[in-house]
Amino acid sequence: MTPIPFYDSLFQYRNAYLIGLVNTVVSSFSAIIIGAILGVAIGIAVTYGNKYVKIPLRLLIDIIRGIPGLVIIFSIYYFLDAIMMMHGMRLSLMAAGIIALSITNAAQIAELTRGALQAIPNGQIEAGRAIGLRFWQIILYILMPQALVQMLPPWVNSATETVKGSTLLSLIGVSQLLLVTQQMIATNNQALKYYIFIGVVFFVLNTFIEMVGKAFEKRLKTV
Amino acid sequence: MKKMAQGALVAVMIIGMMFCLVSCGDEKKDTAAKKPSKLQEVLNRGRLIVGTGSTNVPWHMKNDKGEYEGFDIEMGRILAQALFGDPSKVEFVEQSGDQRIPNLLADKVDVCFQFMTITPLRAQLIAFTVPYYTEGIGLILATNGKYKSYDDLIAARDGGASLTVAILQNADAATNVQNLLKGAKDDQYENQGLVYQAVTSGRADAGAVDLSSIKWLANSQPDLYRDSGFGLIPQNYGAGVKPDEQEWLNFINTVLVDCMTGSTYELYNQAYIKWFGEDETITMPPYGKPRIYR
Repeated sequence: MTPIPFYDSLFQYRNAYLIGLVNTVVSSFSAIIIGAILGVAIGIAVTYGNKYVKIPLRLLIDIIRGIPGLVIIFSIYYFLDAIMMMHGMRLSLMAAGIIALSITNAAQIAELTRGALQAIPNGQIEAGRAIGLRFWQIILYILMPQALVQMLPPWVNSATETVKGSTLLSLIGVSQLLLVTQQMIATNNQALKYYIFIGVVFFVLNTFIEMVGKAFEKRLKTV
Repeated sequence: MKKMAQGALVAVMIIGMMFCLVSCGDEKKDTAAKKPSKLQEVLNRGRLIVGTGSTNVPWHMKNDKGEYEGFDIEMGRILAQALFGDPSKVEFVEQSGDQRIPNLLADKVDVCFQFMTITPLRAQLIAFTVPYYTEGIGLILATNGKYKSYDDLIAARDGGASLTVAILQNADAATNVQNLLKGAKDDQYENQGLVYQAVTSGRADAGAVDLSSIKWLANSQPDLYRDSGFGLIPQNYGAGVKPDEQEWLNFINTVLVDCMTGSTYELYNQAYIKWFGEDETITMPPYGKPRIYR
């Protein structure tokens, strides 16, 4: 294993990079989707739920938002796996990573949802009730369309943060882009070139997310 | 008053949940004591799980097919050969250096071959096997750098120059740098690649790295790296296993001692020559009194 020139190495190790890219995309995009579903649900519950729902969820959101992402990743990897092992199951590296990123993301989005929903005047809920809509209809047809417009820009922001945060998964051994890069550096010793390379890859990934976000924003505004 | 009561209720619920989790754990611990030994568990599974890394040449790395390679990897294969008569019945689990001890304690891996230095502090947390390699720390220089040898560095330091030594983040990193080059500033990096980058880019005057790596780099890339010709701080690399697994530990020790001094010596020798080059100390074990007692 002697070092090879930078561009040759990219070609020769294309499979490793491809697996790294797939793992990065799968882990961060599933976290974005799961986080969005969980986050919106929790956000609605925190805004309109009774005290017994509100207080524990509030506490949960604040605890998760107060803990660094890396600590959550390690906690899931060791603690949740230990609990699962008692029931004869194992948690794969990737699953641990996705769960950890989803939890972090969900807490952020719950806060976004709560903020956006609280900004809508209460009169609209009353108006909805007056014309005989059920609660979920009010949420779905009156509140969420307005909240989404407010939420989308910070949502896109948190999605790009999740993609960047997925690099932390290399510390539990998920073979994503950063870990592949570190493997390349170990054999080929040109740290800067490889870091610039994945910097570009992450830039492209996040630009894509931002473009999708912008397209949605346009659509929502015209509706 | 009502709010306080609700708050108290929530607190009681949370504490209750925690107790549930903890008591769950205790209950299972009792049954764990009756489990078969680790050796039996591995044999039943038919596959050895080795914790290792992928970012340190020539110890553990991945080739372009995504397979693990390196001296630690060969040691894992020697153990698999001893267990199942098949060096391929081994699964390598990627872990960062910080995860070596936690992964053993959490039963994520059976054994850890990841250039792990045997220290008394670590030996209080996990059990070590006999050493399978004795490493030293040396100083690596850039071929086109300011300093050509260890004597150059000493002369520059005595002449009042402020020197910087790059080193991998480690509990003993600062002390090691002082032992190698007293008075030098230590720059600690998060991975070995960054240490080399610091040396070739001139950010550091020298890099404190393992002698095995210096040997490997100075031979494979003489245009970039130079051996300063100085090394010290011997340290033994051993495999780590979870404590209280005496039978498993004994088995690995038997395999390691045998591959360094006994009938399977060729497995170790081939691995050694492949990754560190020919060495006069690597020979067939002599007959008579075992080599380790001479």
